Amino acid sequence: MNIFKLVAKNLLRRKGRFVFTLLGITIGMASFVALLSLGGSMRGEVTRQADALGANLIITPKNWCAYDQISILTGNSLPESLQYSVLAEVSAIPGITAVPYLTQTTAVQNRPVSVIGIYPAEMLEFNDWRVREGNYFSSRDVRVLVLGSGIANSFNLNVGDTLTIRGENFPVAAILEENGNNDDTAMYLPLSVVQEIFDVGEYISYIGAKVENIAETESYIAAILDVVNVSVTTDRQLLSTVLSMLGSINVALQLIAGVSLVAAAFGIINTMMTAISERRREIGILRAIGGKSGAIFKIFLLESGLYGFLGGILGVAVGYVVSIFAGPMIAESGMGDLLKGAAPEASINAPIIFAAIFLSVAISVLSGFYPAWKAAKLTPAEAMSYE
Amino acid sequence: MSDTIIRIENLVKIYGKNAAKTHALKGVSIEIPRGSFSCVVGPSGHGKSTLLQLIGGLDKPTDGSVLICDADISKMSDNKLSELRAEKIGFVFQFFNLLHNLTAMENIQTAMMFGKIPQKDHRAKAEKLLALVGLSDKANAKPSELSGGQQQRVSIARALANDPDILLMDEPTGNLDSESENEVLNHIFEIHKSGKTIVIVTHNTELAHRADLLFVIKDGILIQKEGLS
Amino acid sequence: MKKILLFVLITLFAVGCAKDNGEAELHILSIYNIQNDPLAFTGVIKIDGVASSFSESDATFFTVMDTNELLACRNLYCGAYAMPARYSGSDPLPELADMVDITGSFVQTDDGYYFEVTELVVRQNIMHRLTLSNPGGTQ
Repeated sequence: MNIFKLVAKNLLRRKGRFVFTLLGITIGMASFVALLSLGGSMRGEVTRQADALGANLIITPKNWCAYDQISILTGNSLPESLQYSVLAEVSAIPGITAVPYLTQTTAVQNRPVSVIGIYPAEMLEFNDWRVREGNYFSSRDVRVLVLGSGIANSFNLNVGDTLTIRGENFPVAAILEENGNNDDTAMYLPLSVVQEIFDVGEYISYIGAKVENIAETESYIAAILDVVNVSVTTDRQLLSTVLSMLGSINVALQLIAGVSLVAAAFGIINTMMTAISERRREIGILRAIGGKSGAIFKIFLLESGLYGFLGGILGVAVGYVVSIFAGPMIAESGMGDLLKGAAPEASINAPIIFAAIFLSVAISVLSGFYPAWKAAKLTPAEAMSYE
Repeated sequence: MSDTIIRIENLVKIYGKNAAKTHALKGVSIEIPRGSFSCVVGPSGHGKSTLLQLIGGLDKPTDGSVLICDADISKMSDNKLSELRAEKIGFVFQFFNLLHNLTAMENIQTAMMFGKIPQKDHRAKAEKLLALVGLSDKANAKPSELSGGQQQRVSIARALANDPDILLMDEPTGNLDSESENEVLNHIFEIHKSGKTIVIVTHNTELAHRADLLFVIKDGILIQKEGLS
Repeated sequence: MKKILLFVLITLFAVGCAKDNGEAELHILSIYNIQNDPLAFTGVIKIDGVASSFSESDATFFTVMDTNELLACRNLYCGAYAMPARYSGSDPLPELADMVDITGSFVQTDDGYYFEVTELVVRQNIMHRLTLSNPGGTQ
């Protein structure tokens, strides 16, 4: 017989109580872990997408709100309200390379899909695209489609297939190699064709621009604002807008997880306090047969610590499973617009596992402290005088 | 080292405060020689159990002193008292007081855990003690599976777990039928023969007559002492 | 212990089933999704939006605006796209600013298109969340 065997037997004597207290901690830890796992990967995903945007500057009409800025990241269609002439003026500034984007929506197999009007040759170079199969646009007004790899894969499309957009049939001329960003989840047509078939006249949605010298970004922005009345955002700003949104959502969710952890902690305190009043006599017996108050303290503290340890392990496992299911569900929801093409992956690594278990044990031990101290304080006679 | 293993001087115990004060013991002095068999008798609620609890260090006296092997335990720290109970004193209670979720074997081993017996010896020693009280076949039984008499015998085996010098028993047969009572008493006599000092609080007059020393406690004071001088 | 394990397994199974059931239903599109190229959507689809106006000449015709767009500009007359729809079923028509889920398909006409509704589900009304709602009023 040793103290660990005693503790284990003590915990298991009331199986129902053991299971429900354990469930409380497991749920608390599971939500904590699920959020850590998903939150971390969402951040990573957003950062990656912004990094891969391929432009240092985004030029948009003035007065677009944050929601529209996010639409650039997600590739959703945007109001086409930049004058085409702006492109010429921006391109004229030395050291700036600019490409236009005109984003619209159509449907493939009854799912909304982005169609983006581009300057074919310029975009190929600007975004460093490679062609996986087929023949890329041969001119600026050829009436063929080029698909991002994601579109081709999702809808099982091949070179030679035909898609109908705004009533006109377009053959798929080429499919791009995977870029790992939103370029994969759109279809491309020459700008003039999109302007024509969607009836938008001489407007575009926004302009992506690269500067020669990143260090001079501020002066390039100033130069642009000098000649045209637009809004210029750097990709850093876009990223921070989205990240701060994510951040506040994350904080809110972590608060919720924190609350459930606190609830679990109180659950343990309650369980232990109940156990102690029920086991008063037993405490007296243990003292009578030679148990020091330190040993009593250790026993009760170990019991609550064991709840934390087991709850931590279970919580990590359940949390991981939940985040696997939750990832695709998030992708379906509005939040998923931010991460189109890639559901947040459940990312669990050793640090998260250890952190969670450590936190769980710490909370449980702390919760068990007061009850354990109370138990150890009783004199044997006091403890045994309870029926 | 004197012959007196337990010496009590002017022991006073008061429970409660102010208006609700109870004077359980009002100045009791007793000397108990090593290896003797003593009985403490008297009306219920007059301080017999309190006396035993104070001797065993389960509670602290309000005044006076208790010396076990010439050491004043009323001044001992809580930890030292626990050590004392683990090594020198074994307790047997009227209501058995076994741990309900452990088997007979495990109950005994838990006591050994608090004493200085190495874990690897636990099993063997526990089996020996169970054999001593005639319960070898009940090693893996839980208290709920044992009769009253059997539970008390396990309790005795547990009290002997760390080979203490002193056994204190508070009405050990108070809760048993006469057949079990006789069984238990026989075991107690056997144990006394091996040299242990035994102090029993009891209502059993036969037992009282067989004791070396008899102490009568009434109203918290020692009114009579009979036996070895 | 066995009972608890069984309970857990059943719960997981139920959750798994529920998840599958969700996917079997029609994917819900927004007005935003369809507005640029409605006729690219063929066959039966399901759209959610807000009933934004009614035809004076034909009681079965009404228009539907994008929910998020409407909540952002808070005005039925802010000039955002309104999809023409027709419902001639037995259920009552929606009221102004009712959120609706409509199932049906697009029908091409000589001068455009409309959405023929086969199933209409009216959800909550959001008039209280809109500010200006009178046509021709000064702003």
